[in-house]
Amino acid sequence: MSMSLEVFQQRILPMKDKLYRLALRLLFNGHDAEDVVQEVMIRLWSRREEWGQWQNLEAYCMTAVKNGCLDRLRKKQLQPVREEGAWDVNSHDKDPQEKMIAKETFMQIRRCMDELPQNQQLVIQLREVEGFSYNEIAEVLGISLDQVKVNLFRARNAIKKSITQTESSWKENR
Amino acid sequence: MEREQVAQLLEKYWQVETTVEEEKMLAEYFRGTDVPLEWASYREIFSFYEQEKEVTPGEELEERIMEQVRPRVRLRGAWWAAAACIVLLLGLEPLFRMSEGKRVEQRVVVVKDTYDDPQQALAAVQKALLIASRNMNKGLHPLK
Repeated sequence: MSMSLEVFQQRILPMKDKLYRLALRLLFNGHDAEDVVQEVMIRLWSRREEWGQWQNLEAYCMTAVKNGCLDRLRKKQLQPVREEGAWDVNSHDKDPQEKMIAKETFMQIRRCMDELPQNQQLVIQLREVEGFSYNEIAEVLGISLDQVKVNLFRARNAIKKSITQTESSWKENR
Repeated sequence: MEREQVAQLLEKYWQVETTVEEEKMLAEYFRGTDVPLEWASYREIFSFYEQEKEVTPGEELEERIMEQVRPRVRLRGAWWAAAACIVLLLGLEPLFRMSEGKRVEQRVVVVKDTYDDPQQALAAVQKALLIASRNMNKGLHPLK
């Protein structure tokens, strides 16, 4: 096995899940998200001579996926084609009642998240789901550190507000 | 983690002042069962993000990517080996004939009955092909 193929399989290919989640956040469609990830991976492979020059391979890949998604949205000149159940994952071992309530709140959080401005959505995705540092987020999104924090502040508080509000109205209605 | 500490971390969290490490501590805390009711909705938020981490693409994506990355190389290698074996056998044939000289008729007889056991014959052929392909690979190596 060639050296670069080994590097590809051990360092780049495992990023596919993260890249997919980012693409899904932007495109709301599993098929389109997979297509973009595939395109980026193949392009990365064809440029394997340049790998050594890249500072942060992960940030580079995330940026490439983000740009790929934005290109795709621009070309289509359409709203993203939302796919039902794209976000579904195997639910964990909760009892059915608990699962149903959890599902309801999760849907609420997702709805709130989907309605946030794009950069706030991306900051939430990169920070809360992928655990990226502010610097990495700034690099991927091409915005300043302050903007990262402002976006994260607004997004976190919007999500908090959405869920605590519905909860109190739900209690009042009983 | 003490309740007091959690409250402090939460305060920092909403102000966007927590580190990645501290956020991991919060996530860990809310994964537990010992969360007071007043924080129940925060627990939902954190477990929502936990669930988001489980979202993955279809299993065939990796295959589709590797198909485009790997097999052309492997296929080319296989064709080279097959072609090399044929060329080698064709090339060696006259050499055999020459070195055997006049004993051609004898050779025909000998060739006919080299092995009594078909298993043994097969093993001999496989060994010859293996040597041929190994040498071919050795020869191709500097080309890569």
